[in-house]
Amino acid sequence: MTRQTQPIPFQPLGVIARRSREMAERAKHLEGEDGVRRCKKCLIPETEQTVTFDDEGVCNMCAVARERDEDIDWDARQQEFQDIVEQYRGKYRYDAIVPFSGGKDSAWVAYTLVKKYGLKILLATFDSHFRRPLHLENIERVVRALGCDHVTFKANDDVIKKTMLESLRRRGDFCWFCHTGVVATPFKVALMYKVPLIIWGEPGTEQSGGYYNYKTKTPPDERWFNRQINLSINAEDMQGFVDGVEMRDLEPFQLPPWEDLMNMGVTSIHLGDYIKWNAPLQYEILNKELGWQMAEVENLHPRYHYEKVECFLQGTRDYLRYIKRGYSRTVQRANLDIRNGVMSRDEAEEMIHYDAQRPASLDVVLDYLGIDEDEFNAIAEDHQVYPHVHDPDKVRAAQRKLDDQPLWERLLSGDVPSDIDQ
Amino acid sequence: MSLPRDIVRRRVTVVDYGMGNLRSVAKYVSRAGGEVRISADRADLEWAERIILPGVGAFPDAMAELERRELINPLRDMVEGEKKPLLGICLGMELLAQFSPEVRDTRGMGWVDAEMKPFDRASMRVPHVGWNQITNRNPCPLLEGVEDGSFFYFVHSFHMVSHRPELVTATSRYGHDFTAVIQQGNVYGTQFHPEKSQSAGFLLLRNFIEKDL
Amino acid sequence: MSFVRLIPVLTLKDGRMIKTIQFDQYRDVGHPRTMGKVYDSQDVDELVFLDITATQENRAPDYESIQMFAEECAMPLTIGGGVKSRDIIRELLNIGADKVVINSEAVRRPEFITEAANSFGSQCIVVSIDAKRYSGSGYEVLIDGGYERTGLEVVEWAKEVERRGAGEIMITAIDREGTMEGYDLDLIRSVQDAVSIPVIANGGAGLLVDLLDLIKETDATAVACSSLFLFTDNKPIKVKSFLQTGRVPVRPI
Repeated sequence: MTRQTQPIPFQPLGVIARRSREMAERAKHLEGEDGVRRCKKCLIPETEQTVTFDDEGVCNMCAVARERDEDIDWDARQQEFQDIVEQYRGKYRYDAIVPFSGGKDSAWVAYTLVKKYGLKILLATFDSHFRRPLHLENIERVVRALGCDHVTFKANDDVIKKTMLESLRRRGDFCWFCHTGVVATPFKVALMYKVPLIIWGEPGTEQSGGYYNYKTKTPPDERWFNRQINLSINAEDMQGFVDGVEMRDLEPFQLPPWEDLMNMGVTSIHLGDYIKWNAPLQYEILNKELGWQMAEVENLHPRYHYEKVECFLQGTRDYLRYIKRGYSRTVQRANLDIRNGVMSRDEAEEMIHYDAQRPASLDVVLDYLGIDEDEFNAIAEDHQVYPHVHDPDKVRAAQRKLDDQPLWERLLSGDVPSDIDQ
Repeated sequence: MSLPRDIVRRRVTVVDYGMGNLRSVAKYVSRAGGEVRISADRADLEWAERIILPGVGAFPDAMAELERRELINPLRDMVEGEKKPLLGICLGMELLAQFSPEVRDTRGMGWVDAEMKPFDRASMRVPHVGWNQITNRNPCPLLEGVEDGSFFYFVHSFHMVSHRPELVTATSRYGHDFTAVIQQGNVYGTQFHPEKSQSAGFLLLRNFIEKDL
Repeated sequence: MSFVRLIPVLTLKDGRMIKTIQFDQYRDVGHPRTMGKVYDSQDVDELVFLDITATQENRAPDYESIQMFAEECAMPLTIGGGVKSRDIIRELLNIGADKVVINSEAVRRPEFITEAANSFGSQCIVVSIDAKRYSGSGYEVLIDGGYERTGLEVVEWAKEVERRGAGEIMITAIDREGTMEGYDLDLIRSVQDAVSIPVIANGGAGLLVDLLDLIKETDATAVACSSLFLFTDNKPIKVKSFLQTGRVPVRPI
């Protein structure tokens, strides 16, 4: 055994990137032009996390969509939800905690609970650290219009930056702090205010159909956190990965003990398991009634600009996914449209080039993390999922920056603007 | 996640007679919603609303240990007298039977009209070890929501045979069909280890804890 | 029905989970308790957990850390590291192991394999063999965490291990482990062909297709991986999905 007494810091080996290229020829013989199998109905590639294909070559996400439409009694589900709500109405300081990013989905939950069910809710937000100005406007408008109480927690920049770099290297995803913070915060708020009912939004069943399905529902609990949310990394793990960080610093990303939640009688559910989700329709209603607005999003076809308006880094995040898996958010949204019969597979194929873009926000991210683009690409390519091999020639540089890019360049530059005369 | 219920958690005692992976069982029961004690004391059996009898090892050793720790009478009082629901797991299920020939002929608790028989070593690998699927035979609250074909983890050399098919809740197959889950009145048994069987096991334990039995 | 078993291998050192490369350099990969929670949520079929410095430090396995992990896992666990006596085996079984791993002690005292199998049942005893290739002399068995050569040829030792009563063998290619360069199919095939007890193939998985190749080219029935889960975004659920797509029978998610 090694005589070393200290672990070495993690760096990607470069092995996966090299071997993926070596394997590329072999994969091409198996399936399709790039060797990547796709669903016969929608465009999802086999590189997605939980995709499987049936004997006809149709994916399990399409099967989940069919289950949603044909096998679920949504009236019965709605009644079930009503029954749950009545058990908690008026009994606690708030009727429910609502995890609230302020994006379309959580805005929809808040709107439904307040306007349709007349509940007194507490909105619980984890500040995802790169929240865009228009998004903050949306939050102001929605929260005021609905008349809700609202708590927000912001974690410190030092820790976030360190964990971003570490999770980028280990998982090819720098959003660990946000995945975990967004889930940990409402549970803590629930314990703090002693409110047992927590109502989440869309269960993501059709995006990640292999973890759960509509029949089983997606219970937002500790198992879900570890199975689907946290990239298989908990705060206690991260503490051994990064230097100069103690558990107190990582506590914003740590679930409270599930025992404590059970002793409070926690009931944690997804609204989308009881009321059928319809993204375009929800946007229309939110826009008309609350003034919730779309925004330009990088790497996303404009028809979907009600999705993912919250985070300035969204484009880079999606670009990473493109390098790893060979597809990203535009195709993912188009797949939902295909399954809903709103778009044909051919029409969706026309949109693929939106995913294959190098977003302008990448420059800001690289600067913020202190790495250059070669290193970024090396890390990303070391996370390619077989049999996908990234082809840089397919990628076009974005033609424009988002309106708020200059703001972020100023904020993250480290320059200290001063009003005081020098 | 569970549906709304009273915050008071169901009281479960896991019988400690020195055999079996008590901590695994207890921890999983706790996750499934129970308030758990691991104990051999009569007081804790009386406190409990549900009793779990785990077990790993040989039948005669298990019965001897139950005797030695003076658990036989308290258990009889709880199960036969107060009709508390009891779940026997693996060897714990075998102990529910009237008799087993393992090592030497030994009487069990006799709560289930059944006896243990060995798998045939001449024609198959014994013990039966690994994941295997069950088929539901008779309705039982423990198996609500557990579909046919669900996987559970088995490790055993003997299987339970009853001449009363209505007691057999579910079977599995190893060379031949055999009893995987049995119920007689307030006494339940699983030949597999629910605490080793991931989500199907969790569902079964949660049913045992949450449902009115 | 027989399925291919997908088995993560996790290793403990000084109270943290770590991952070595060729048994040498290592990186921190997490905390035993939280990693237990993670793997429990992933529908794995079983899992191997090794305290890899117990033998070298001449002590019993770190029961406290093992228990932290085992408590979170509702799945069959195979636990080892420093297993030298039946008392140690008994203790491991008490804290959550369903099977135990014997490695160095099996070489030092081969009769221990038989003693353990007789006391606890052969289905409970997995003998782990670490092998390294030396030019001119084929694969040699190493013990003490790959630190000491034994002069034993791997196939001969595997046969001996089976003769002595082991229920399973785990074979690890030291040159491949942690490198993510792919399994050593020659080594695995040679061991599998030599014995009739199940063989867990370990060491080198990096791309998803490595497992497919292993299964298709060696008829492996138990495939282990470590780095694949720890350093890529591929979870056990993803690996099973991939194998399912490749028409390999796996226990469904």
